[in-house]
Amino acid sequence: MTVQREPYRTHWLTWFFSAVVLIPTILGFANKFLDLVLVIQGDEDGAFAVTPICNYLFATAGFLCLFVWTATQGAFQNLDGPSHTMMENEHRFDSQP
Amino acid sequence: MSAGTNIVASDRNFPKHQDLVEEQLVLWYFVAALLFMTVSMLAGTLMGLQLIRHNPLPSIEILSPGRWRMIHTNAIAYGFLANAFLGIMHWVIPRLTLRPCLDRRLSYLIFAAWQFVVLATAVGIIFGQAQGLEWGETPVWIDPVAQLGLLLVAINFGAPILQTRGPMYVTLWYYLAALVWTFLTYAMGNFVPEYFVCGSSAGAVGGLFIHDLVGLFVTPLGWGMMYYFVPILLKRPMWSHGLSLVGFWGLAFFYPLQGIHHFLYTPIPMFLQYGAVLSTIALELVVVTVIINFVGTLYGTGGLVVTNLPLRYFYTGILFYFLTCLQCALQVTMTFQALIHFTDWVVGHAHMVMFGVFSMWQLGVMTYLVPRILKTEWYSAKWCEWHYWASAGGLLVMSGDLILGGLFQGWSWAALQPWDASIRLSIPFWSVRLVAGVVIFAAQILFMLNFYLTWRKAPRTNPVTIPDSSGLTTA
Repeated sequence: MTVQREPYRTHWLTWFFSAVVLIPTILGFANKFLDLVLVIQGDEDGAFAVTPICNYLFATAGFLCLFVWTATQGAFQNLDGPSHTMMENEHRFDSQP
Repeated sequence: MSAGTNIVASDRNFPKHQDLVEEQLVLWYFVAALLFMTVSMLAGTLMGLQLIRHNPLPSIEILSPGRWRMIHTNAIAYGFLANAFLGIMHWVIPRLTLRPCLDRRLSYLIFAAWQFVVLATAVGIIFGQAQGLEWGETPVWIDPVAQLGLLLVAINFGAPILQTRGPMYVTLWYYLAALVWTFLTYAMGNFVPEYFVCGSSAGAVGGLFIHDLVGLFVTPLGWGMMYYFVPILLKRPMWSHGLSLVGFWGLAFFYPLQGIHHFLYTPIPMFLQYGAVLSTIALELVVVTVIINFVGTLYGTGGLVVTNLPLRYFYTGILFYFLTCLQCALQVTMTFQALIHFTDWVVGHAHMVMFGVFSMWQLGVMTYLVPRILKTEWYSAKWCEWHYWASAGGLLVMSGDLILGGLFQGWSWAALQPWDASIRLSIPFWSVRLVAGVVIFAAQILFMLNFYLTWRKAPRTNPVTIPDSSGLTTA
């Protein structure tokens, strides 16, 4: 099995969906986080909402670090490579006596 | 040569399947999963009878319907789904990483410990020790044991994944994340509301826990499984591995906050509720990428879904997944939520996602793996077909019935009808639900009987037949 380059259309589609998902969501979260800050400043009772927000930010920050680390390790260089390697390894497993 | 998934090992160094995969343990997990599924479905049937006012066990406190209901949900989550996932991971992870799990004895210890946790949870619930949080009812004295068990699971499966070098296949990303997420999610739901926060804050954390258990425990393990088995059965790689990574990272960033959408119109601040709505809608876009990818992978070979039973299970689950996510996009809007809040719409949605998607996928994997491991074809291929059609058909009727019934309930309440009126109109829907549930239950009994008879006729030593990828025919 030969390793094939990712087709142009799937490469384009990947970046397109990444942009469609990320841009509005980042804007939305930034807006809502500003709301949180305003609530905490204006109403001490509203501060209890910090617990789930902190949970979320903690988890997301961890994954942001992981994402950056992954990118620096070259995980997004040959995007379809692992898929072809998996198929080849499976073929070899199934060929074993 | 290093055993990375992106690196093809030389023939001389390529490991043997039997040195990597503990097949006996995979089968044991499947057996445990199916036994707990029986318990769960029995409990669900009893609860269904209670709803139409035919409780078969009246006046017995420890067998009261409220406790049976908790047995139903806990046994399906921790007994069936978790056991089946663990069994499947014992097959998938070693074959993807080309390394065995960390320790064989630890694998068997985890198996025994997990069965203890699930059984003790059931006993604790029966005797009234449940905590007051949906899916977090596990008695407090079991929580540390379960938490330790999840840590051991993460260590045992995480070791071979972390030893891989180079870009990982998407399944390993999903699995690695699930090992961490499940540990953290369980801790958040079972310890934070119990010991650290109370009131609305505990409610908000509870909302995160309930949905994160679906999205950060079941979903990544389920999709990781699909990204592995679908290409194998189709004998072609995923349409776009890059797009599958968009799905994974999208889940990682957008899922954790959406649990609050279960608590719309509650005292939780509106910005937090809107944040959950927003992250849910963002995730719908991510779901579209996943669906496009799997449809693209199938493109040109759609006929296989008809002839290959495991593949049919997988794509039926994918179809149900799309439907549930479509529902999600509707039900997180505030206007729609006002109508369906507290109604059976939510129950129909939950059954569609837990049985229609994840259980169907796991049953499909069992249909594929059991004959491979036992090295013989199924005892009855026709029973396998019956199992599929009764499961898929029963679920379609049950969830459709509950979703429709939920709308009627919502309209009844919106019209300010008396509570009794909404109960009366619900009885026919609950009756249909019970019949559909019994059909699904019977299908699982048939599957277990087929499993048992297949195991009994399996060769004890040398294999004599090798099933093909459908798991049904003899080569």
